[in-house]
Amino acid sequence: MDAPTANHLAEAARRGDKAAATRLIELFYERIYAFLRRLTGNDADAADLTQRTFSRVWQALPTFAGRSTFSSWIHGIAHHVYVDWRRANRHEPRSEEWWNARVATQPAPDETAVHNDLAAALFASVDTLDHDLREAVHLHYYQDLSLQETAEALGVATSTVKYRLRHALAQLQWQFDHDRQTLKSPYPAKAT
Amino acid sequence: MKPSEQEIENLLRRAPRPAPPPALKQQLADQMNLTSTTTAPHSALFDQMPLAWWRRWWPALAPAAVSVACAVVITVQQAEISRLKEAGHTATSAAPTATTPLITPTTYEGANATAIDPSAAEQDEITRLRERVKQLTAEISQLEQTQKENEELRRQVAAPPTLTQEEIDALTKAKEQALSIRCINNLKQFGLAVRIWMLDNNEVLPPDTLSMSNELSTPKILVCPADTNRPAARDWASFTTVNLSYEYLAPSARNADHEPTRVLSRCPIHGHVGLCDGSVHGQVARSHPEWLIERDGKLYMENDPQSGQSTRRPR
Repeated sequence: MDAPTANHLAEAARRGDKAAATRLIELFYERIYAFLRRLTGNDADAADLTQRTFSRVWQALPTFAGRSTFSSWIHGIAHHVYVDWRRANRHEPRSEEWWNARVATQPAPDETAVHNDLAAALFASVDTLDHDLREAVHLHYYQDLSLQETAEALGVATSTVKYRLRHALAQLQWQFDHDRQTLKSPYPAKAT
Repeated sequence: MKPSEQEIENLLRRAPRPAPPPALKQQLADQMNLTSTTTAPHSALFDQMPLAWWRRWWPALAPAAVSVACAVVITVQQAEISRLKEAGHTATSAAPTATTPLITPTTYEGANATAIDPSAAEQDEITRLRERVKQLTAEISQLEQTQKENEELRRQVAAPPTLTQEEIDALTKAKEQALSIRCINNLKQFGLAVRIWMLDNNEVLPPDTLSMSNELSTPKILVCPADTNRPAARDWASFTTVNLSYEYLAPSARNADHEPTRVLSRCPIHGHVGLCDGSVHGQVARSHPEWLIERDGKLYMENDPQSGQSTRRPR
């Protein structure tokens, strides 16, 4: 990504440059919306949380010290916005139908129907993961953040992110290998 | 079908991205509320060197700056030391040339004289050395004189003193006084030994002097220092009456504590008497023989016949 450019834009926006702030919106609002859309499961909440996220960004911009990339910093704010929203609303993870619909709408000329089924099942399985594992998967794989950026966004060590990702992959593999309806997982998901 | 970990990662990376509503971007732009931070004007240096960079690297840069400053200070000090050393060498090498020429009245013949004659300098050095030799010779003769005086004094000290009759009498008296005091001390120890023996033997005094061998430290105290006829015994094994100067006047006596004025021992030379209470009275038998009263075969010292008690201060 163009992290140095984003950091320079943030520095300019911090000094009151509205053009730089607009450019930051153009660069990040789609990613933040996608991140929150996957987590919340509906468009209205995702749009609302995206607006809250950018509102907090403008408030906290004077404190942005540049120790991390702007991408990880804004994802960290989005993460906290989502956590606050989830605590207030107690929303459950969405159903598999949403992922089925999303996968079906994606053009995949080189993929078979079996592959699409596999992807839909995988994405649905991600939503059944523990909250910490799920957010690590979202940030690292879905949002394409590096391990260090993911760690900065979540406020944990890089080694913790690695552990959570390996744990998540192992659990996803196990779910494919066993019948979730009859067998008990060795990685019980926490109630979210 | 069980997908591999790599396949799962690939699928996750290709997850569909939800598209935002068309109006969201405009809403975000409208809600933009920038709080302009006009905290401090940024200089060109800050534009080139971001504050974040400085905040990240100052823990490493600060010690480095201190180290560089120390190195500069040390270098300056070394240069100063080298300069001072060089100045010292220069001064040392210049010193002999400044002291060698000796300007004397014979060589310095006027204010306009600029050159010094080497032969005159040597002559002056010889003169100075001769004066030094004379001075040393005088000191040696003085030392020899002092040595002779010391030898004379030593000889006088080693020679027997020539005393007058008065001095001899005083010296003799002092010697006798010293012997008398030593004798009193012997009687004190004798009386103490008797009392110790009495305490260990049911208030009965020892039958003879030899019985107190455990209480007396040495038999030498049983000979009066002024008694030249009796040699002191080296040990108790060789002790006989020949080695005893003092008279033991209360052998095997009982209840000695009830008769404190009873005479326990007596020196026939000095006349000192030791009483049963452990006290010793000097020269009583010689200067006040009337104080010694004999009753029932026992000898008592009473200097106050009315009260029947001794009032003299014991030693």
